[in-house]
Amino acid sequence: MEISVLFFGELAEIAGASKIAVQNMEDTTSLSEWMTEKYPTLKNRTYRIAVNKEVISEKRNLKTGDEVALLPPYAGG
Amino acid sequence: MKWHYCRPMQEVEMEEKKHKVHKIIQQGAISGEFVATSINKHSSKTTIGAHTIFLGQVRSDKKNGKEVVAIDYTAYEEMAEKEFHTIREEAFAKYKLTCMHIYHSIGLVKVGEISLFVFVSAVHRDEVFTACADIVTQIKERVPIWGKEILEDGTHLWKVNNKYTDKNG
Repeated sequence: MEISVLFFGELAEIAGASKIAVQNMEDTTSLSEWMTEKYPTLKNRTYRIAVNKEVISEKRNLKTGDEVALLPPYAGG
Repeated sequence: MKWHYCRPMQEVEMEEKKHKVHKIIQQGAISGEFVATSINKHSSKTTIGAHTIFLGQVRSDKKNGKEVVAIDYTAYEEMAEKEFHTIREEAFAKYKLTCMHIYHSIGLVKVGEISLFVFVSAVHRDEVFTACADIVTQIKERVPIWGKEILEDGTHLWKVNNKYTDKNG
């Protein structure tokens, strides 16, 4: 089971990549935990999570091919 | 202008059929000529009595004693386009608008150049003033776009919108 994780803005700098593939991640909570372990700086950052381009506010189950994005505070305009 | 789309609805549908991908996000700064051309294209829409235009300009802020010389914008493009579309549809439902156009830059935009162009038209002025201000606020709060502020010494900081800092702009 593979999902892709996208990083934007400062989070892409922290991750050192704009996109990574992640295996066997059941839901967004386990993904968040795994990511803060891999990138400890994320603990001190505010970000929203989008699954397939939709911002989520609660835990979401993940399936193969899902696109999860980590979105730091927006700064358009 | 290939992505030009105005009300009435039949026109919108026709335009969308012709151009499935309506791109709001543009590479680089928005030129004064582009804004002028957009205005001129509305001279044939004779029910319009009022336009409002908002232009967001890259400001030379001082950060850590250094001047901002440009902003390098990035976006989660597919999601941003989707969100722009929703903001447009909501504004058409909420206000009596004849026309609305939004353009936002990605890539490098230098200080003094335009990165956001919102153009709202209606029969009377009251609608356009309120709608334009609302649309700009919605864009800043809801569209996944980020700005890397490039400082004069080549270092950078990440732009934070006023919602997070309680400052204007």
